[in-house]
Amino acid sequence: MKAACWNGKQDIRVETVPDPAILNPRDAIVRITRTAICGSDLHMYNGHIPGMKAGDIVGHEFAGEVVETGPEVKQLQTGDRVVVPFAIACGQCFFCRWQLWSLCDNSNPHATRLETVYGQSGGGLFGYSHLYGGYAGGQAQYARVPFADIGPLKIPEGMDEERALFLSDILPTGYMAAEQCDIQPGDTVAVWGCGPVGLFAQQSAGLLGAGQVIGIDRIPERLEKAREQAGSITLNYAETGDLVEELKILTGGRGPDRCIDAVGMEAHSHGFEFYYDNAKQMLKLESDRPVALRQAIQACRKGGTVSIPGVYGGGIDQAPLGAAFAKGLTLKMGQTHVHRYMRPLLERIEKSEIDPTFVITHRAALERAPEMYRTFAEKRDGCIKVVMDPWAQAA
Amino acid sequence: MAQKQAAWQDWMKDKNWETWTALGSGAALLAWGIVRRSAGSAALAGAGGILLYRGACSRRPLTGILAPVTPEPRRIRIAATILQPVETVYEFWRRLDSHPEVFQRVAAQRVNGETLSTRKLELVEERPNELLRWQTRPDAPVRARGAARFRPAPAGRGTEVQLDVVAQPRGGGLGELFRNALGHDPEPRLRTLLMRSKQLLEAGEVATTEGQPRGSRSKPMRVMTRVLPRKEKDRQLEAAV
Repeated sequence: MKAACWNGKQDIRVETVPDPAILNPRDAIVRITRTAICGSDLHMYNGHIPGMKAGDIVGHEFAGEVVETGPEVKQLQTGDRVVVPFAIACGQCFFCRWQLWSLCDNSNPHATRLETVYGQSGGGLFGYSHLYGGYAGGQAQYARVPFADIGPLKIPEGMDEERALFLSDILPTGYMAAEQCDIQPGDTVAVWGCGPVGLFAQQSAGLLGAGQVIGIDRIPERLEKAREQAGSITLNYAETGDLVEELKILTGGRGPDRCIDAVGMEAHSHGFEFYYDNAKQMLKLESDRPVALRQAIQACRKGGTVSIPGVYGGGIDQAPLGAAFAKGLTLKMGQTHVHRYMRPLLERIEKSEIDPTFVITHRAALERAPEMYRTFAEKRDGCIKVVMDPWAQAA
Repeated sequence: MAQKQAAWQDWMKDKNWETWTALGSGAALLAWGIVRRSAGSAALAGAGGILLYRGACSRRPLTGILAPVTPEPRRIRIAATILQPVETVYEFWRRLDSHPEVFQRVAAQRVNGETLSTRKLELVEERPNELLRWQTRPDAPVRARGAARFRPAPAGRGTEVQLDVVAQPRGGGLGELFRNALGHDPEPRLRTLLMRSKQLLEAGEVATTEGQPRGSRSKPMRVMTRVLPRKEKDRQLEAAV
């Protein structure tokens, strides 16, 4: 089959590799019909995710058709159309039973490695480094899906895969980011980043009762999407002065009640701070560039919530923990417990409350993955979201 | 800063004529080997590197190679909570050899040319649902003894298993360095054993990616990290993340 393989920093190649096989009784094989590039794939692309090996198949947002099931798979049958959550969960450990699916105890074959780094290990993820299990990802024609009865969600008959595809990651991720803010009526929610997760977080904040939603970015077409699709007020941080002051003006001096960092470890800003963090990151003195997180903590109103769907991997400098402490903030973060949100969000899609396809700007054949990664990473050509067809012929 | 200084002073305090000789000659050999850039000099550079490393980490970098001392026995303690009743977990561990997917892949590595299997272990004490104690038989390739303790976790959260193993490494000096480099450190294997038993007991299967497809490994894998002792490796890993 064809698969997009990571070969080093900014080096994705489409290679012909063997087809996957059932390895465990609870596995299924899915013939992938749609697969997307996630913003978090770019951290890997830019070489910020440790534990990658050349040849690793990447990708964790995919949907397709079940073509084979292991002997212990009871709920799925050959021919079922499914969307697969990026986090792999056994469904039977303490964490799965508590609905903390991405923290599954039993799905990471290399858990002991991650334990050395983080104290304890979360569950396995598709196509996201050997620290997270080294599972082959979904930017391929087929994928092996472990614990197939637990994760994959059947796509209702008649629904286009593209409308269900983002249940695999970015829609639940944006939704959980807003949900864990505990939004109260009238709250102002500020969202750093108007990429797909930031846009879904803004839309979800509105659905969950926010009075005012503020989207922050520097890319004009992304800000426009935030205004159009989520009804947000937008701030272009490259044009406004002090962002934290600007947010105070918009909230009567209180600061946003809830702040969401949908940017993560590779944040940009236009000040000295960006160059400081970028230099430290290049010299490996700091693994993550936490500009958005610092601003979110600084801006958040007293007693408010800072929710972090953006990915962080290691250590950060100059984290204003003093401000977070002094203001009594609540910090919420973590990999999304996708399984918890797939069904309720599918219902919202069915009722047309959400149409996640609005984020898609590029559709291409999988063979063009290297070019699509570059376009997405450089935010060229208005690129917000790339969806690929593994079976289409490259034009 | 004060801490850094203290660490530096500790490091300096350990140095003697032998370590300085090793550091000096190691550095010289390494530099010479690198400058000459031939096949033979790569070996010299390697030897220089080993001398440097031993000079930095050992109090007896030279005589330690020639007259290896008997190393200290190594004690390893690890614990996990398994979401199953204590009876089930105890019974599983008592019959570990009937779960080859957990035990054999972990333990069936060749140690000194022999395979360690449960047949080389003997049960010396069993207290149902509380404790199992083993030791290696006299003909086993390594000498080790260990205990597994079981107790119910609070609020119906399963069973806490605590492994306590004392292993007597063979040889020492260079030999141990190479054995560790080759992955014979028992700790990761014990951790894997405990993790896999938990996976099998809870999820009904051992998570794996062995046999899945991948592209060509276009770049050589990083293997150097294995050569360094564990603590240093962890620090590097932390720094890398």
